[in-house]
Amino acid sequence: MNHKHHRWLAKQIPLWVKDGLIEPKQATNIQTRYPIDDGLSLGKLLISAAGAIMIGLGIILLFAYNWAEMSKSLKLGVVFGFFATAHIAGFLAGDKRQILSESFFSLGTMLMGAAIFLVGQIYHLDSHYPDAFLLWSLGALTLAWARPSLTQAFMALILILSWHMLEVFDFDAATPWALPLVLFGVFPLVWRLHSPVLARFSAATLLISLGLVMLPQYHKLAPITLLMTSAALLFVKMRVQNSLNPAFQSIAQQIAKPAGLVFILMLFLLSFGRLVDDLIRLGATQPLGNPYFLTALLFSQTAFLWLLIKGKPNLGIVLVEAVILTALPPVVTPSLVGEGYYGLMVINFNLLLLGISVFLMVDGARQVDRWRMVSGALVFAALAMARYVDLFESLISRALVFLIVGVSLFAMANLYQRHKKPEEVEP
Amino acid sequence: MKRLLLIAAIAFQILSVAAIALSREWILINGQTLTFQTAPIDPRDLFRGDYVHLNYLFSSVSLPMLDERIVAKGLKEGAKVYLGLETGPNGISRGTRLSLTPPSQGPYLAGRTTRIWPYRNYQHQPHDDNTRERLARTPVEVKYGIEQYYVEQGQGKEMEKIRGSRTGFQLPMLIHAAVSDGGTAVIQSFSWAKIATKTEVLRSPERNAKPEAASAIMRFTLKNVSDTPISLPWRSNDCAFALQPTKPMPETLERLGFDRPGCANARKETRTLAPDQAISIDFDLNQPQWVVRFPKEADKPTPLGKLPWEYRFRIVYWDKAVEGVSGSIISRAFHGRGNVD
Repeated sequence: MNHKHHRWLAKQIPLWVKDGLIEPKQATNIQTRYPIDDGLSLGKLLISAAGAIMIGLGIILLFAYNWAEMSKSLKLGVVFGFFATAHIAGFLAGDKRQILSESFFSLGTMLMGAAIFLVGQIYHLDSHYPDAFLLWSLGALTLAWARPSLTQAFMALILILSWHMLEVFDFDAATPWALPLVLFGVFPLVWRLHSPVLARFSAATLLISLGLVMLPQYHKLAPITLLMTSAALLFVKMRVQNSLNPAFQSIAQQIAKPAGLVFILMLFLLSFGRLVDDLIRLGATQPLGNPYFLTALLFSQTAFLWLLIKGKPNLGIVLVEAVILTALPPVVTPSLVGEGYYGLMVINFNLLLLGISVFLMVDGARQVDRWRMVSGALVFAALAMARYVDLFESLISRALVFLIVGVSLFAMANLYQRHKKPEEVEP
Repeated sequence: MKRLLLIAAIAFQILSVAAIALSREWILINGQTLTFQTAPIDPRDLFRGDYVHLNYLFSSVSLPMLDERIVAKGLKEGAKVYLGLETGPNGISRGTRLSLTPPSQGPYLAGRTTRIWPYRNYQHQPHDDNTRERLARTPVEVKYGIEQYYVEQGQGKEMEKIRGSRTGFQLPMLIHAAVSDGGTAVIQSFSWAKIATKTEVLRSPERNAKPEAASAIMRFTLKNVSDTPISLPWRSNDCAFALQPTKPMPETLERLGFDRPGCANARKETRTLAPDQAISIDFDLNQPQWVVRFPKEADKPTPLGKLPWEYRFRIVYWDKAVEGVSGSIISRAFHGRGNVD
């Protein structure tokens, strides 16, 4: 329990005893049950790490000036000296002063980047420069495992993503290695560090990397592959959310957040029809020979079956699976799909997106989950706006769209308020 | 155990970067020093400050310089290639042959291809004259890892000024690099050439000019930018200069080279350029000495102004060593109608 909650509890307990709600012995038991958590504060840690990263960036840019008066050996000596000193300081600070130690190690890893770029500058290296980010990310990842360290894991994620983006956008290279690096290099750290935040960012990086891998060569297949991968993560989250200990439940929930966002985004894009047209024109050869598509298909359907056999899927999950089943025919069995399927597919995607947005709003209101409800409302409004531009021309029909959206949002807000009232007991 | 892991991780970080520096230092100490001539263009790298982008004459390799295996089997983008080197007049190294394996003799540079069309699918194309002609017009682009020179922030612009502008004098840069036995090059330093050049069009031909007036009149100016006078061996009738095609056109080489008709008995003399002094030479490309046969089976000579647009030339001064002059003296590339690249 953190300091804020502990202060509130400390004020309340004597009042509960005074009012006769609990016995003094029970009060003592409650106090011992919820001690102040004096462990490593994520907030403090992130601020210290951000400070160290800023210092590191400052040093990189300082050396980027390329002081002509400084000799080569002096430049190398200074940067390697700082680099080693930061790590030694982190090592000596040890486990007793964790935040200080973590900050020094973060600075050390930033200085590794400075050293890589300085060596490149001194020797006028003109090799494949994304490799510098790859080497840097491997340095951060090694330290993330050796400590283990949340900051280093975050740095590794950012560097892996930077490397992958440079490969794709600057060199048009669809290197697949970012995926296993995140999957096998960073994801196990989520479990090791029990970190929901790292889980969320790792899942987001994984999905972005999957999109990047497919962008240069298979961009037409990318939306459906991302759709299925994110759906698979949502299925897994549904399956494990009630069966694991609270720490892992929280991790599963965090993994589902970027997955849900990517799923909605892809479905929204598919609701426009242009991407559907691309899918229908693909034919079966490319999708069925594509390892990413096949993996996503197997992963999503296995996860859905697992959920179906072991648990009870809710309406939202059924809608997600319906999206996948709508998208599959032109990709897997194109010969059985005629031209007419295009219209059916676009209408289906629109209806399913509408269904998902309404489900999110209603479920969010019932569960008193503000973010879920707001997400549903945003998707609902975005869909209405998109179709408003596409479909409706007369002022009457446009006015009607606004009225329906407005009334629906009012109704949802009212439903949320009704469910929230009985639970309004907050410190 | 945890402490050992931590020490290993720190060692990995430090040693992996140190290894890059040490491998380059090894080449600088033990490699063979060669000089390459280039002209710099624009700067700035996000993390490393200013740099000058270097482009060498052997950055684009044309068909005659390609090994037969490359021509026969095609190339992949990013393929590792090796450029054989020979040191020419005035100590400048130039490329001789690009191959997929290191040459058995002499120094060479290892590089990777960056633009390979149309060699990518060459093995699937008919091996006829048309394909070969297309190959001849499209060079392979190669990077050798010595295409960037980092300087103190702000100096990139200064170097741009020294390099000169498109319309003014341009001064080539001489890159001194250590080359390892494996073909890896590390830049040691650079120097400037002593003679700056300017390429101008004095007169462009009319749109529908007759063949005898279809070519431009070009002016090539040399300027001594050093502190000491430079004596240049000269030959009458512009015979100290030749026209060099930027892309292969073998039948023109003899006709437009230093031993072209009319140059066998050219009078030898010397021109001395004082510091800051310039000398201009006008080349009327309509003169009979500057015509070629194109295509080679054509029954009448073709003026340079009537050649397809992809055939461009450079004016080249002398192909022998000249005392006091480092590097080659060459003009910018231009078409016979006077369009300068």
